[in-house]
Amino acid sequence: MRFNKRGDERILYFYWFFLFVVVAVAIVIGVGVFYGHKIDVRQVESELLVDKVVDCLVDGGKIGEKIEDRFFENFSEDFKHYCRFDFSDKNYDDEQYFVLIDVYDLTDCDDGCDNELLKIKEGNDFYFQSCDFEHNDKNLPQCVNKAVYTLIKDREIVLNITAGVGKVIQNV
Amino acid sequence: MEDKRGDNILVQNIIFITLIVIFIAMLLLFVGRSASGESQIEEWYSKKIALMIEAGKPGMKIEFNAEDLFDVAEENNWDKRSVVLINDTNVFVKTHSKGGYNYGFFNDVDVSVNIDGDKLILEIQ
Repeated sequence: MRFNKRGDERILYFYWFFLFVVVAVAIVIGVGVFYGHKIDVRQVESELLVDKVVDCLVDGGKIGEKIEDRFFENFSEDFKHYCRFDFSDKNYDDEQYFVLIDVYDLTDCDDGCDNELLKIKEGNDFYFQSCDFEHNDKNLPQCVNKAVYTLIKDREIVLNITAGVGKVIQNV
Repeated sequence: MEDKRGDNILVQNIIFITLIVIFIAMLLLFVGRSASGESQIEEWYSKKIALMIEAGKPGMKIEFNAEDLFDVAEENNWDKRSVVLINDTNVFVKTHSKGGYNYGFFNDVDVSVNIDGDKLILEIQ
């Protein structure tokens, strides 16, 4: 029986190279998984966003003097500019933040609140719909909800603030 | 008389060994860069600075130690002054000539970056 030794050598080269590629890919995947773990800061960012909204609207337990007269009228149109928010992000095509503020009269809040007086909504609306309050699914925007009691011209109101951050690619 | 078969085997061996050497070099470069934590440190500082800006208020001056970040840049012969760049609402941290990490913040503020020794100073306007 005759063997084609040159052909055998070529197959052997290919086999060794293939084996090497398999090992290299395994090392790359292993190193990638080990060192490629991203730091998820979205929950902290959402908390900061809610705090910034409160800082912007409330001054000394009351709605700020500069905005109290127009708060229920046209303030929602100016909210983002007044609070100096910029929700655009060069890393993404669409906005990666959202803020929703529901304003209620305190008398309408007992076990939950009814009769919303005002709704201020800014940012990516889709994120609010897919908000993950349970923090179980990292592939969803991470959101924070806080209710703040305050006064506007001696009227007791509740600001129910929800903020969320997407940025899934950079945090998961 | 030349031994053509011997020449062919030699050429094949050289090609094979060259490919393997290139492959190993690329692999070591990847593992080395990953293990040195350059990309991690860039990501970490980029996010940290973005969060500081988000938590800060206009008029604030934030100083913090960034020795490890500057050490990595120095190892890569990268200018300290080009390590942290802030454009519009993005923090860009770069410790070598290629790559870098970019993370956004939500405040519409101007931030200037200064360096004092190993300290990084952010001034929010």
